[in-house]
Amino acid sequence: MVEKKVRTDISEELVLKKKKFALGSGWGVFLVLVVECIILSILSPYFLKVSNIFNVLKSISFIGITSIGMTMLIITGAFDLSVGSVAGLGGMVTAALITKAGVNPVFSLLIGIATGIFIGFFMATLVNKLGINAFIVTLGMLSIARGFTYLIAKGSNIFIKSKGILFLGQGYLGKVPVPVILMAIFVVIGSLFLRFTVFGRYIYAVGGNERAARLAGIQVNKIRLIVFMICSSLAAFSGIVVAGMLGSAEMTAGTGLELDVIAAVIIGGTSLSGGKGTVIGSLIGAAIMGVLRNGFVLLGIPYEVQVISIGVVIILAVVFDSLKTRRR
Amino acid sequence: MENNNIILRLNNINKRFGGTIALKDVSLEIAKAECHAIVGENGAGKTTLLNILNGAIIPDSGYFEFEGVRYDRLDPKSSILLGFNIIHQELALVETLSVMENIFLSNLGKGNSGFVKNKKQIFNDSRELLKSLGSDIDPSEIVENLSTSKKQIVEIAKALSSNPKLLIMDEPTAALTQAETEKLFEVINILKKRGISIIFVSHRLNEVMRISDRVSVLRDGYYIGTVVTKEVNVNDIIGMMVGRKIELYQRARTDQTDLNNGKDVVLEVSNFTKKPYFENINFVARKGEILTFSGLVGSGRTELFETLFGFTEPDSGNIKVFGKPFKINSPKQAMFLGIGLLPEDRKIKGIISTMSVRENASIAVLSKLFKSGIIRRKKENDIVNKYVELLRIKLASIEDPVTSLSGGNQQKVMLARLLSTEVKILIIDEPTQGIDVGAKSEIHKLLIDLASKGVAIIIISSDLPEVLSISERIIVMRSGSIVGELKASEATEQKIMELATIGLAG
Repeated sequence: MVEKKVRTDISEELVLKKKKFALGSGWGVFLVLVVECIILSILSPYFLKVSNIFNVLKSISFIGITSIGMTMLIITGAFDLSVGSVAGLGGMVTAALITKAGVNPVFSLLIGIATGIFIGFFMATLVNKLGINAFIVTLGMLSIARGFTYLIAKGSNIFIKSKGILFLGQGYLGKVPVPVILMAIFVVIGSLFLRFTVFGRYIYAVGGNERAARLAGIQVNKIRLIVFMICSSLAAFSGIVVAGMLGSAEMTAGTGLELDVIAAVIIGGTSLSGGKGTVIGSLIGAAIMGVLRNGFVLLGIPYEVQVISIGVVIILAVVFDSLKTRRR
Repeated sequence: MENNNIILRLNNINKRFGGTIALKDVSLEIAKAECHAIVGENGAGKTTLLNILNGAIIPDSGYFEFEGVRYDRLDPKSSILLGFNIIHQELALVETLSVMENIFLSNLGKGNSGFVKNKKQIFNDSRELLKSLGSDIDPSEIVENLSTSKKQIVEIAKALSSNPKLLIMDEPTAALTQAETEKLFEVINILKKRGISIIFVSHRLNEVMRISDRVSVLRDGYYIGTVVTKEVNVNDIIGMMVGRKIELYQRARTDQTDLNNGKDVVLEVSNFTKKPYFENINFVARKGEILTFSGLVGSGRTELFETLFGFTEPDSGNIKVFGKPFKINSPKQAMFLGIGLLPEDRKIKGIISTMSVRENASIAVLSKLFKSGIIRRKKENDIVNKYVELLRIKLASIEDPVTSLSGGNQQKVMLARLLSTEVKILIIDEPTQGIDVGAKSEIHKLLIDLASKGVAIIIISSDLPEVLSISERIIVMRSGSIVGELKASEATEQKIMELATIGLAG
């Protein structure tokens, strides 16, 4: 028995070494980010400037905050294609309440987030009670939420009049942009939640083997419901932050966000098949993409190439993910 | 038997899977135009044999002779070309296509440079084939609209379209009603008259007695013998199926525990029904007693206990736990009442393969252990280590992925999961499935020890020696009903098999 264990140890070590630079295994992703930063700092003198670093972080905060909820959802084996639209809707609802209805900004913020919670509740219920595929439900919501956003906007973007919301998006605490601080806070909370709480453990169990989890006494539906609500509410919140960043809630805000978020989550090592993943990993995944984009801008690479290479990175990430899963 | 009369001969077929012998020196002869049944318990080697005939598995040694010509191995295509065809239990029809398209599925484009054959011609040819089987199924009907029995006839017609000389049917009556079975037997007789041989694999001995000309028995991978059906009775066949020496499995319980009357009833189930899985189940389980539910695969035992455990809802019935009536709506509730279920097929239903040993072992007790919702790793480690020691689980570290453990040790992790919840009524489905002999007896000892501590244990097992060696009481199920209850002291493998395959006496 001991002999067998040693042999598998060695072969595992070798495989790990081979895959050291492969995206996906904890330190592997971090290494990719470090290598990326090193290369970029060599290619451009502006990269390591403090203001640039914070800019990069600020630019990924939209994806970063949303990816926390998405990470949890993907770990349970589902995913949410509507986060971009929900983000747009959250921003629009809050802006409309403040600017058009004169509602107190704090309440408007809360109602914006509540919109997200409600949408998450709705989608999860369809999945839980009617057994409809999450892909289909969230795909439908993508359009529905976007439609409502246009409805509220009535054809034009809505300016944010509240200093508080503007601070959320444009403010600084010392040298650090507020969105970055918010992202950091949520990442820490999300990480601790997944790692150290019973509920977090249940999230991993449901994704690892739903049937076994149910037979072990876990209330799978309840978990799915709560995670959907977390994901949508974080999406709504990040939409509000972005509206603050831009100074207005745009009708098209968040378009395409879901793909970037899912890419970040997968690059970061969360498996599409469920049961594995970390919030920090997703943050690193978002950073990898953010640094790449930043690099393109600093180096003056045309936009078309940027778009193509982001796509390539996403495909590579999914390929590595499936190779990892197949090995299991 | 003269060589002329033999259509298929198997010569010393051997097959091993790792350390398990699936078939050992199996030699069989199938005659022309006969209906030849192959019987044996679960694990006797029937499936492996069929897979070899099918070409899905290659024997380690041995060969076949089909119509006198020797073959060392086969594959599905060549076996059809040679003239034998297999009809599996799970029918292999394309549900969304029509009957005639299914019948000629492999022939649709023959000779017409890729274009589909004349529709009218296929229709007529199909009609002919079905008629020859005494069936009036409409060839243009879509398969998914047909009953299982009619689908089976379509499968037979499909097999016939290649003019086979031998047809193998695997558990063909499993999903059929009495009337439909009669229809199938008519078809079999028609085929025999046309000179086609039939190999009929089945658990249902009364049917085997009725339709077959000869019966061959497999046991633990060995070929036991072939008898002429007319010359024997069903008990002779059962005797051949189970005639194993029970000495190998010493009765693990040394105390005569027939004095049940004194023990408290902890679980009472009455009129428990969920069609079509099980009907009108009534039984009690007692404190500190090991009660085993025996029966063939498919008799409804797993469904019964998964429903009892709250995983699914019953149609009707009552449960009393420790004397109080309850409606169990979820596994969580069942566990709260002190009931635990260790499912069969742990790879699918039990083990969470993405998690470590520690996480797998602790998952069921986390909410009880950490009321605040925050996990304290030290406490978790302590309780997991306690059970690793108690159950003697062999591992390097509890952080290892659970998939790195052997089957027996994985099963122990599952047991640790259940025991950590301080379960009072333990239901365990096929406790030693896929586990080597050494680990098997360890698990048996653990169960007996648990029982002595007062836990009521209900075991679902198809492993007869296991059943006899550790049970105090045995309930036999067949086709969803309880057909008998035996005290361990009165039970023999023969009696259990009889009940499991034939049903209620008289």
